[in-house]
Amino acid sequence: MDIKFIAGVLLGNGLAIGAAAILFGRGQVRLANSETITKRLGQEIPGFRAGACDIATDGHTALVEDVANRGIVLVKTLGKGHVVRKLSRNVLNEVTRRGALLSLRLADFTYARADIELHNESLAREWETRLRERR
Amino acid sequence: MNLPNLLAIATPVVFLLMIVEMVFWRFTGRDNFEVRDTAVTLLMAFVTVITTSIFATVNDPFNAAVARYHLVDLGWSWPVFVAAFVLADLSFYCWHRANHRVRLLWADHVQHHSSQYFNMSTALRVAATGSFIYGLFFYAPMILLGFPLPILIFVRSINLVYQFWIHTETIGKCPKWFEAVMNTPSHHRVHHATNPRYLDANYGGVLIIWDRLFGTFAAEHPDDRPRYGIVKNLGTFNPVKVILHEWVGIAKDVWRAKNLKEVAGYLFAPPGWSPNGDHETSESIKANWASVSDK
Repeated sequence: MDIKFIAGVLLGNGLAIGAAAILFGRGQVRLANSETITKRLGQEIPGFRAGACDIATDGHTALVEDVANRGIVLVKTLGKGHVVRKLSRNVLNEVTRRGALLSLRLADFTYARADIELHNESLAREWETRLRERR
Repeated sequence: MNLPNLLAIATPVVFLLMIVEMVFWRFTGRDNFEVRDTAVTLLMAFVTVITTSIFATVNDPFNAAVARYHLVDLGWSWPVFVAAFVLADLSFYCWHRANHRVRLLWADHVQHHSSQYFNMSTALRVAATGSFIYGLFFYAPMILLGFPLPILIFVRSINLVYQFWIHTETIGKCPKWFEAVMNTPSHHRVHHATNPRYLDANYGGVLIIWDRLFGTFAAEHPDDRPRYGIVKNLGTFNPVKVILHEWVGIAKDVWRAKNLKEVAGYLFAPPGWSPNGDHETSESIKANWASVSDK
């Protein structure tokens, strides 16, 4: 094992991570509005047609109805990227609600739980009903 | 004859170019990096450096043992060097294509594709065990054919180093003649994209001619900007989960399998395969997209 080479790689890693931290940092984009989200989903999911769409109060998660495929899609921001999950029967394990807060447990190793605080309780109840219908 | 250690020579240049690219994007206003993503990538690169050194203790004696059974002694000459380079690139194409089409291999290779960012650091986001398996697959047949091991190590290094610079959005299109023959940033952006039209395309390493020859070539479309990552993007920056997620998926599927045919399907069929076909594969995504586009 070439210790000099390994030390060089370690130093290079440190410098590159430092540069990324200084120049870009930990980005966390917000979901701008329903149009932006549905436009993106339209690009990602063939045939997608948007129905109801609500963004959580923190601006980082959203629930979107896909009318064409009769499904619900969960969108969350991760850094400057997006994570999209179709909430099919196989994926959605459990839905609970406390007031305006919806908690979803997903059968997903990298995204196991989503807490979505919606703007009011009745909105959360509507989504809870939709999600339960699809379980 | 002693051939230079290309990887050692290229390493400082690689880090320098990565930082230059960061500075370029920072001052041209494009937010093309995320520190947690870069950190995960470079952690994976570091682990790979360590594991490659460890695996060499197995690979090197194995290669030496295989060399005793070579069919002919091709010796050292320019034609042998060129033939080794071309065959090495074809071997990479086959290996890379298999990595996308066999789930057991994809479990490793998916790590390279798991970032939603496409920049030079992405080139270093590689699986820790990749060198071991590819080492066995790549070197043994070429050694048996009679290529000297130092030449194979050298052409493999050229292949690896070449693939660094094509992981970038900084370079648009190269001259037409170059795009026709060589793998370029444009071709490789397509390879890393999840847009349905780009799925399962451009597996070439240095030369893109293999994709053109075997029908896997897709050109970057000016109206369809690549979206990077995987079809089901990861919901975390946790490096352990990034590395293990597909292995965990395979383990769960195999555990639930009802018979050996299903086990084989989950291990060797393309990613997304399921017994009843209710999961998405790149074929089903492309077919859906094509049917919607036709309307």
